[in-house]
Amino acid sequence: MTAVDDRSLAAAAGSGDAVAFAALVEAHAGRLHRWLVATGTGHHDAEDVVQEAFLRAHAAIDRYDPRWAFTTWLFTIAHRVRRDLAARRRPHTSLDSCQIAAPPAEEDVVPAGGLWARARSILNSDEYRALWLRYAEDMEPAEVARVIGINPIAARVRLHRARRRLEHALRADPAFTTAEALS
Amino acid sequence: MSDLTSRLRSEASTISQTAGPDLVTRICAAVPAHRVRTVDCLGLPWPRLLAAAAAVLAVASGSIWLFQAGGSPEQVAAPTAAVMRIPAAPALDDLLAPARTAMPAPGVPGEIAALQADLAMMARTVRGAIPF
Repeated sequence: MTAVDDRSLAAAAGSGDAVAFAALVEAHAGRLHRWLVATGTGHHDAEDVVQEAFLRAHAAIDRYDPRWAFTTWLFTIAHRVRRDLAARRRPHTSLDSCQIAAPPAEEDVVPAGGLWARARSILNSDEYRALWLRYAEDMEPAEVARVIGINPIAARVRLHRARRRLEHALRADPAFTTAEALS
Repeated sequence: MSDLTSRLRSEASTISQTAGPDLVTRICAAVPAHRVRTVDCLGLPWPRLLAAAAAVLAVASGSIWLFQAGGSPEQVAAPTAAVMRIPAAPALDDLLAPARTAMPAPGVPGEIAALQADLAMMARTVRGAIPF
């Protein structure tokens, strides 16, 4: 589904079209869930976050700014919902720079031994989430910045650092310097 | 290593979506039941406040009219005294009670952490709006 489709569906949903909103849910719930799980949220919590994000989006659909992609707005809401959930669960833990722990193998969506699993083990949570939004969700740096609540320049810097750290780690790792890994 | 971007993208495209089959159904079922919250500024009883303000305005304009029409001070004071007996102007404590109960209770770590996280986010947003 294109961003233009999303915007027209969001406009329709804003005027009370439940079918249009259901189409948005159908199109994006899976992607949103994948992002949450891949970046450290358990399956069940991720489902709750997705549901809450859509409910908040529905309640505030008339405040959606069509200058931004619907997915950017939706991911921004989900990021806040997840942050609030994490804050309630772990009130004394800093959430900004900790590393994302790999979930149990049966819940992990990121293939073990792959590039994303490697990135998760190297980068901190902020870098990993930014990297995922940029390359797995194909968001522009400005959109990444909006989702995670930083300014666009900071987002570019964070992405640059993440890439550089990942590249250095891969160069130093013989397993990743094989022809297959670098092809 | 120049193709790191394309490798990240191609590997991400192979990661399947993980939501349970009933998630979409669950969300769609929840949406109609989800009440759209109205804005409740400060949690104050605005209808009562407006009614009280309207009553005061009505009495004030009525008193002015009475005075201009040649009414005695006693005649002017009568409606004012009457409206003062109407229990439409609640005590400040009563007005602020809903807002006070909506605040996080001091000493609850989760609430304080959530508040701190919100404030940190707000600070980042404000900082982000400054172009240098």
